[in-house]
Amino acid sequence: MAFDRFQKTLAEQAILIILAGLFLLCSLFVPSFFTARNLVNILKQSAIIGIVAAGLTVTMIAGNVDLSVGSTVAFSGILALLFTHTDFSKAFISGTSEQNAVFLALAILLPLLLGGAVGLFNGMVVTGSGANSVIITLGALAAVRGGALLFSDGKVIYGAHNPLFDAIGQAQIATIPIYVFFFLVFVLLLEALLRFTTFGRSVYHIGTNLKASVIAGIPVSRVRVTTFVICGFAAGVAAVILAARLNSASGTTANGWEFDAVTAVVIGGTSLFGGKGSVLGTLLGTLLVTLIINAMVLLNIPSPWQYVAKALIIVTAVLIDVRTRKEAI
Amino acid sequence: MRRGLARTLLGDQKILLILFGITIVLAVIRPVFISPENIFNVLFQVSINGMIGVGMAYLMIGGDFDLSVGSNMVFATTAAILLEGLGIAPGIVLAVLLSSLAGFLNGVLVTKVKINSFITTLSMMIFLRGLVLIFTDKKTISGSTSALFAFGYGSLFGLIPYPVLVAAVVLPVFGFVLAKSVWGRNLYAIGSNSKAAQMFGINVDSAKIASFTLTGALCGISGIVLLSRLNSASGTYGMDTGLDVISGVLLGGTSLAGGEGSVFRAFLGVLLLGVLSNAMIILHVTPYLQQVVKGLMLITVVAVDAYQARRAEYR
Repeated sequence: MAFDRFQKTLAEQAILIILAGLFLLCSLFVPSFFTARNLVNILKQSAIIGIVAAGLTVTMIAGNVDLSVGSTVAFSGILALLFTHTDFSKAFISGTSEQNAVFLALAILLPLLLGGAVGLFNGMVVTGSGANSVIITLGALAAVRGGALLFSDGKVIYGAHNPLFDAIGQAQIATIPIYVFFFLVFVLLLEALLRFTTFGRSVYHIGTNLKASVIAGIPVSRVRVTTFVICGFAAGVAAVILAARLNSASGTTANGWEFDAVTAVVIGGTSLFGGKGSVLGTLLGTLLVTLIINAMVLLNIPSPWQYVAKALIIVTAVLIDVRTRKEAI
Repeated sequence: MRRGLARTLLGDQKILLILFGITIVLAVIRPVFISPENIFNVLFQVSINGMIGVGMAYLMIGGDFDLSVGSNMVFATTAAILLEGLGIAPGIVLAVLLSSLAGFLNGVLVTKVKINSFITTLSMMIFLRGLVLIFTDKKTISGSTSALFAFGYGSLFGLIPYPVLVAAVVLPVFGFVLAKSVWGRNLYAIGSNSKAAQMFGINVDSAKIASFTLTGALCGISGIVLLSRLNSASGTYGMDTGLDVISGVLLGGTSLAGGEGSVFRAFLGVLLLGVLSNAMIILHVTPYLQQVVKGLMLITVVAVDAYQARRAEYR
């Protein structure tokens, strides 16, 4: 375990060096890259997907994966915006418009609850049946996105411009949106959860050796289900922020985010085999992917090439993961 | 090696019974279900998914799977249109070869580079989808050949449509190969216990690479069959193919755990799923709800499969 942690820091340093190198290159050669506005842009683009990736990291360290995160962001976002409409909320709870705070709370809490519920469902099915989490959550991806489309009737849902709700996505401190700071806090919280709690240690143990963890008396099922709940919850958080920022959501929102999130996590040094990785690494991974895509946009490279680039990035990252693993053995 | 029918999710006879039941009920309440047009629609879909399902069955029996099949299929469709200038036959052959190459690459990455099938095929899915979007410039592109159209809309003796005929040849041939060849036998052994298979001197890597390549080739052929009907390609085609094929093959009783299944069972599963999808359309279930049902069905099938596999292990 202790040995694993050292390896992890090495991986983090490697990605930090790559990130710094790329940053330097882009600053020198990509026009209008090194401007305050663009740098804030990179942070903005990283923050919301980064929250999803941070949650996914916990699931992946435990040796599973969740592909339903993008769909959950869509469904939760729709839910959030619907509940910013006071008349919509009234259909569910009685109250007057003075109880604005209650409605606002619903608009924030229900999406989080939905995210957690999707995670709970995924976790219980995966641990209960022992099935492959890739295929189970692929099914959840389809089902939840279908549910989001069904719930919104395939339309784009707009918010009611509740100033408090909008502030979540639009308030700024020194031209940096507050959700960027929230992203950093979220990452640190999850990192602390993994590093300093019994739960966190159990997650690493389970990812390293599931059978040994069962024998060691770790409540394996409970921990694994919890990692899924954390992941779903993170998707719910991202959904609320995205909805507040765009003031719109639809059944096709966050399409393909599952791939972006997995890429960020893997580049951040979390092993696909589980047992190794960190949320801080994922933070760096997210920044790296966003930086590359940002540079491609600034260089006017047509958007479909981003798919190709992402595929190559993830294969490279996994290649490094496999190599280091071989050396370790 | 083959743990027998006991582990089959539904059992071949049960699937046939369910199919029979659904057909009767639908034929009574919605006669349009048994109109020649609708029957062709079902068979066309089942032909495409069934052919890809053959490859998927090979992979799953050997303990792998492929998420990139939908992208790979559209990749072939796109390539065939772009390569039209070379003449219709060379263009088609080249397109199928390119799809096979993508499959081969999946196999090499999984076996030699040891990246697991999930990340390999997920990346390939995104990569090929990206290539399609680049080549089509995010639009729908059309072919100009009418010869292929004659194939897509023609039929043997005015009875069996050619697209269905292709599948009617591919499925039994590869069903036979899987059941009787050394390659097939090796795949069952690898899926049951990869390490043991290796110790017995089975070349695990080449058997797996061959399965991935076959899957790629069948995606290519399916892409051409698709082209023969639609005469167009777009980055939005084939989005649900992977989900449908994996669900269908699992529904037929081929296990994700490996070591078990057959082409016939894969076909039955894909057929059942095709009929169910068609039934939902005919019963005017909204596409969104169809997606929910399909997703939940995949989850159920995989969960039950895994649960049974675990119980079998304890026995």
